[in-house]
Amino acid sequence: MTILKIDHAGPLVTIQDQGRPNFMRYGVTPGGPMDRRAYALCHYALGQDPSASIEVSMGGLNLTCVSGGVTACVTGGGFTVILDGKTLPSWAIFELTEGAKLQIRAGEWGSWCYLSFAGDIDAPTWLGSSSTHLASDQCGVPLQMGDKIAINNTRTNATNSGELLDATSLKPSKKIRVTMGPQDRYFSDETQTSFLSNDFTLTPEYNRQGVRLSGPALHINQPLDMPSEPIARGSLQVPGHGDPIALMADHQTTGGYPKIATIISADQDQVAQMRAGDTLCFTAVDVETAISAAHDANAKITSLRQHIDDQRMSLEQKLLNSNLVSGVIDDFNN
Amino acid sequence: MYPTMRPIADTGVLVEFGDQIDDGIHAQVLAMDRTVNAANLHGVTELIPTYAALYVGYDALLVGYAEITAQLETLLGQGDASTAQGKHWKIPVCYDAEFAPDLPELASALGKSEEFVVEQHTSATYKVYMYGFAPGYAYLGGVPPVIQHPRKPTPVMGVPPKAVMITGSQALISTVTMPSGWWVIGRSAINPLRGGNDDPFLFDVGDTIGFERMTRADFDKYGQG
Repeated sequence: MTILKIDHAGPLVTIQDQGRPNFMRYGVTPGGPMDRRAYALCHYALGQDPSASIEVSMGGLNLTCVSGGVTACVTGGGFTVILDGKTLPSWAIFELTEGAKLQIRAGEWGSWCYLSFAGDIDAPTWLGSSSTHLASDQCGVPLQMGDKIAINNTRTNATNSGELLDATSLKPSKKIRVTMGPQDRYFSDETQTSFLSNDFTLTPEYNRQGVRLSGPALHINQPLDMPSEPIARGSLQVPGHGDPIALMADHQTTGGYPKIATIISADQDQVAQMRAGDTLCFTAVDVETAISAAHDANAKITSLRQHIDDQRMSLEQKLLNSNLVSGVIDDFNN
Repeated sequence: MYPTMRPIADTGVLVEFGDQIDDGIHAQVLAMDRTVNAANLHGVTELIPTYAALYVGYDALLVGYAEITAQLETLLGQGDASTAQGKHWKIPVCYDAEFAPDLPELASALGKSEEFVVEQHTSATYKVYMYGFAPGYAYLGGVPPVIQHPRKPTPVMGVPPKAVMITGSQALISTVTMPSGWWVIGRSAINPLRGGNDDPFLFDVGDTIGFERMTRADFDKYGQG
């Protein structure tokens, strides 16, 4: 068992795993990582199925490995990662040895990063998930200074340490794709055109539930008489103030305000990594384009996995592989 | 015009049966919910029934939009909305002053006695229309018109679990500590969000509920926690 002690945790630093989908019909937010791609690749790099990680906000995290040792991995935005005074890449795999001090701080870009361990974080579960449920006291609370985290079944593998990939290639793009609706009928043609032709800025009203955007006001053009309807991740819900709210991982399951559009799944992680003050512009696509983008995003994950595999391979393995390949070629030549 | 199907990004189909709160529309939502659930369609991940619409979540890597909507189309109208009959629950409630902080103000606003409000509250049969807001928050319809009253202008922080509340035609029993602008008129002896990981939700959408008055002595003796 490895024990970590939290020396500092900013707001909204929580335990997250894949969340608890399939309970939205009972009012339970699905939760899970804000940036699902970075989270999944973090565990992939450690050679394990996705399990509980620490999701670090821009508030940062400092911890000390007080006993034991474990291989750890950080992925996500362009955060600053410092291990015993030495700066590591933003996407890195490394060893936490007894006494090691790790600091993670907001870096040049990005709102969230993932700290995962080769082993199992000992955390409470509820409805099959360890994701902290911020809206209730059902499953943990955000991490705080003084907390101790136990990691069971730890593994170490020092030969794999190093950079996984250059995170700058993953910076979010400003152009975000949406499908219109499902309640676009509450907005005039002019308002919908304005929505698609103007920039919106992320405001500081930002948490795991969603982020309020500011831009041209999107006022509804008829009395608000809709009954509460289901809400999906990526919904752009417009309350009476006219600012759209992009709903994220901890979104409410139902709501009575109209949704002008929905961010497609391929672009949801990008919005999650934007910060207050960043601007974005929305482009409307049809559902077939959105689905094709989901396949593209999945192919991108496959190529990032390949890249991580290449990076993780030790020099010795690379040499071995190249010998094997030349051996095969020699066999063919004979 | 209804039913209609609308795409929600590449993750869901919203099947709409109407645009208002209506028992007939809601019965169609529940019938479709049961039918789609029983059909066990490939790629479908999640169903969320609400007052007038059913959200059908799907995995776009497993199934396309045209395919999923074609399958839903064939299921529309297959379910029998008339046989939508859930379980009936009798929920004991203690209406003592300590548990009913808003009962005096509500009764006074209605121009009725507190006893009248409680009698009316216990006389009705409520239906579980949908869940929302927080885990296990079941929205119940069926508050008698004579005790219907709009919500408070400002939500009150820290409403405890098991608070029995009404606003307009809606009622609910809180499950966790949350802010609320509804009128708290009693305390349920049971929390509809039970402990544990297996099936912690007492009610299903479509179930009916009646409230029964419980004395403080019985509440202290039999009430949970």
